[in-house]
Amino acid sequence: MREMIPKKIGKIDFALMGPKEVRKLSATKVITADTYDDDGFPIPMGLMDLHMGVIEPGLRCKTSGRKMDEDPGHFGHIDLAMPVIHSGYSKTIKDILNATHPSSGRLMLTQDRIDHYTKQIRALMDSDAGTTVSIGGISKRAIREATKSKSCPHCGEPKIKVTLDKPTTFREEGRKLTPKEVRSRLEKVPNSDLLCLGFNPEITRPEYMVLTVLSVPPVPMRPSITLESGERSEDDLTHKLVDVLRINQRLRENRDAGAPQLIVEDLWELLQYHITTYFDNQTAGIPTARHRSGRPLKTIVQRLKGKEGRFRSNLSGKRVNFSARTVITPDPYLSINQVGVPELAARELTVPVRINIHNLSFMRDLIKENFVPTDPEKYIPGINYMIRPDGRRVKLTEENWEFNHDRLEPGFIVERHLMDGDIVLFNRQPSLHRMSMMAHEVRIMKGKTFRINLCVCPPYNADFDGDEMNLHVVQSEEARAEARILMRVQEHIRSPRFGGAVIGAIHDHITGMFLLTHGTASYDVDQTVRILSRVSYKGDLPKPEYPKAEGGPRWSGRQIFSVLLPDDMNLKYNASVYFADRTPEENKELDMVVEIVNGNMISGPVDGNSISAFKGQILEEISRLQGANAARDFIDKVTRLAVGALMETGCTTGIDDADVPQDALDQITDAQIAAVKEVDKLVNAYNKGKFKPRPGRSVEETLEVEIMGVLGRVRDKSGEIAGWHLGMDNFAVIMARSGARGSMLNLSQMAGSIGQQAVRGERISRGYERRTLSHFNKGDLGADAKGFVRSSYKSGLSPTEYFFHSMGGREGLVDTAVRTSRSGYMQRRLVNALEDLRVKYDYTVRNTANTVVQFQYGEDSVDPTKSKFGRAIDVDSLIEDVKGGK
Amino acid sequence: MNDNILWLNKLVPKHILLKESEIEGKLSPLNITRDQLPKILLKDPALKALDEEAKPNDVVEVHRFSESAGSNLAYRLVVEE
Repeated sequence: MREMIPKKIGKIDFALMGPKEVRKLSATKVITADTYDDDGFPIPMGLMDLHMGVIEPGLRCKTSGRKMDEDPGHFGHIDLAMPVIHSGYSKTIKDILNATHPSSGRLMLTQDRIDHYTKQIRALMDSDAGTTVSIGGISKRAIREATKSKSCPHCGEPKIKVTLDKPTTFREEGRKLTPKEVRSRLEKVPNSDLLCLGFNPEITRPEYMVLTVLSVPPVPMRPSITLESGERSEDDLTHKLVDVLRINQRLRENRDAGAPQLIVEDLWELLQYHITTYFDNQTAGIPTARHRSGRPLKTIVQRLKGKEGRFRSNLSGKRVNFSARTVITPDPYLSINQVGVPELAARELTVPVRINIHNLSFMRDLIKENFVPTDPEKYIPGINYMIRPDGRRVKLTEENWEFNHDRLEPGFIVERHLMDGDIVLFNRQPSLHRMSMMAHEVRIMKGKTFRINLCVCPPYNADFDGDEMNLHVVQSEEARAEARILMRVQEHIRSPRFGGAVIGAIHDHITGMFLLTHGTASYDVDQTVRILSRVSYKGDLPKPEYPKAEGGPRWSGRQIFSVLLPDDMNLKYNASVYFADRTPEENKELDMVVEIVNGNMISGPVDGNSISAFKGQILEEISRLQGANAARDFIDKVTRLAVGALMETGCTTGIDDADVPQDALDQITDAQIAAVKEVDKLVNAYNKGKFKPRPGRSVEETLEVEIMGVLGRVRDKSGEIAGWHLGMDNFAVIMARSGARGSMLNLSQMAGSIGQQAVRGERISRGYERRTLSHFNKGDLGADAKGFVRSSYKSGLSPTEYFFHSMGGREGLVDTAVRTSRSGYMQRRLVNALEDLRVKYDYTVRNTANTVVQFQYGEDSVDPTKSKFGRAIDVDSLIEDVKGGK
Repeated sequence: MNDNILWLNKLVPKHILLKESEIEGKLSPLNITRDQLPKILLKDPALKALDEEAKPNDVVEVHRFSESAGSNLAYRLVVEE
């Protein structure tokens, strides 16, 4: 590859290429609108001319003499019979035509102003700072000023406005300007005025925007493909160039033969069309060029633009080696920073290891073990390739392994299979935040899926209904170190978004811990030992809380849990099951307040407010004060303890968890009837015109608000009634109240009443004329006619209720669909704007041009991941510490 | 600050036009050169409401309210466009 770079690049100018340069760059002139002859050999001076590169093995390029894959190809050119506007520059052309005088070509500004602008641009060109944008700004101002002038200050003649009919037709007082005329006008603009217009006359000129010669891209850029049938299929670009050549030829013949002006003009316009679509086949205002099959042609702009274009698909993003993708499944016995990798994948993914005297014998053993295994059941990493010091790669095979085993020595590099403890990056799309890609330690496992701990599901937003995830093996020592220090899961337990934990116990872990620690739950010796063995607890059992219990001493769940707490922990907070509608004293009585003294849990249950992400206080305390590794360890152990506890108690829920006694149901019905009556009363008052509007609202709006209020209250009331009968002996309630899964609202909707359905935040009002469904009277504003659902999910819905419920449900689905696409695009723009900002060592935030964006990071230089919900210092707990805990 | 109506809005931070002699002393401790500063347009209403008349290449000190730190100092370079 080295020989392909003949010169070092010192500087790049981006400018328009003129006909001279295009011809200079060209390896051949193309005149024949054909590709291959009957023998399948490229036609000289055709579109596949061998001077422009080769795409067939065996042939050699006539320009550079290189073979197929060695030669990137060379440009050719087509001489156009008549000039043609480059549609990409038609706006610029219009601006220049309007800013200059047609006969003299002078910029219509006084010499003073021209000098003023020229000086500004010169100054910018001489400075090293980012220039292009500001030069564009200055020339834009100059053009605007010149366009405003009514007559030319140099010759005094009035000017005539040129308009642009998109994409390429110019008109002057209704008369069409031919590209030829346009070009001759642009040619007249003197070099001295060009800098003002944004052109550097040393490099480029405005008339280059009207093409007289078309560059033909090298053949390897538009290779033809041979189908199985032996038929050749050309690239879209080649197809388009054939069109251009054909029309160009006809235009030249007709013009030379002196054909009528009309025919020549038609052909000229056709040539313009083909060249316009050759650049961009989605130009507004002209029909797209299509293939014979009706498929739109993919021309130059289409190749580059958009998500599937060259930039986003091939340059900003690339396919990579050393990666794997498969389905994920859960494994609660893995640590949160581990990932289970199937053997099949591990034998493909390799890590390069440089041999030294310390690992030489280990690697030799690996080689031997792989070809003569002592225990075929056991996974032993093997070696796919070894790279000799001279750079040659040798594949290890059944035949050569013994030889290579013996000659392996320091200096070699071997590509070793993945093994336990290797560090890899694990990712799930969409990668919306930095927690979407974290480093895990490998555990080789049987099976064919990646295994992950359940606690890392929320940051990846993963579940196990068929989700797949990607794994990347980092290849260099530096990358491994970086991954270990910056990217491991435990380093991401605390989120930079709000300064709290995003990884914590979920679902069953919370139920399990609640069941272990609530109320007076206690366990005998066997149970206690079984549960504690889950966290590999070593040491003596604590003193049993109930030593004299019937059937031997019993330990409370809180004692078992306290084993995981650091000795110096002192906390007091309300549990998730805390009754917000009762006094603190009552709650304390009911054991809803958690108190931890010197690492011993005294009261309260461990539930969502203790160990879950976002709101777990114990998790928060440990992750902030004891560090990432302690937090990881705590999460691992808490979850295992919870699983252990669940094994002792069990937890199940079914439809009977939504059972409430008949008199409760009657109470709910009564409340609903009362509410519906109240609604009817409001509606009656409204119909009689006695309704008083609230300030700032119309009568109708006030009525709606009042009705919504009444119906909302009855939903709460029925929830309350149902909830009163759903006690803490009910597993569904335990899950809801402890913060594991579901809410009391969900439960009351199952047991009591579903309540008002809404579309666009209002009662359902669409459907037929003045009514939602034909089951109701026109103009009925009552509860039932506008989407109030009296039934519960368990009792089932009436047909009209079902319909209203579906309307509300559909809105939810549509909203999520719309929201994801919108927020995705918003995030893309935000990320593009912010991606290269960084915090420098002096805590300023700067961009790549080193200009300051923020004088002090976050204005307070606080790393939010190390803060307590955004605050650098937790004053409350400091005060508690100073006061001595209690 | 004068009694321009602009300053009555609580969202408009206090702007102070620095004297040429002050600038060096303010910027060099921060290790920032003048061309690295964020820009402010000469036609910005806040500059027009100042007592002194700003000109391009001047530096203004902006006293902003900060959600996280209480108050925050920023410097902006006056540019014509």
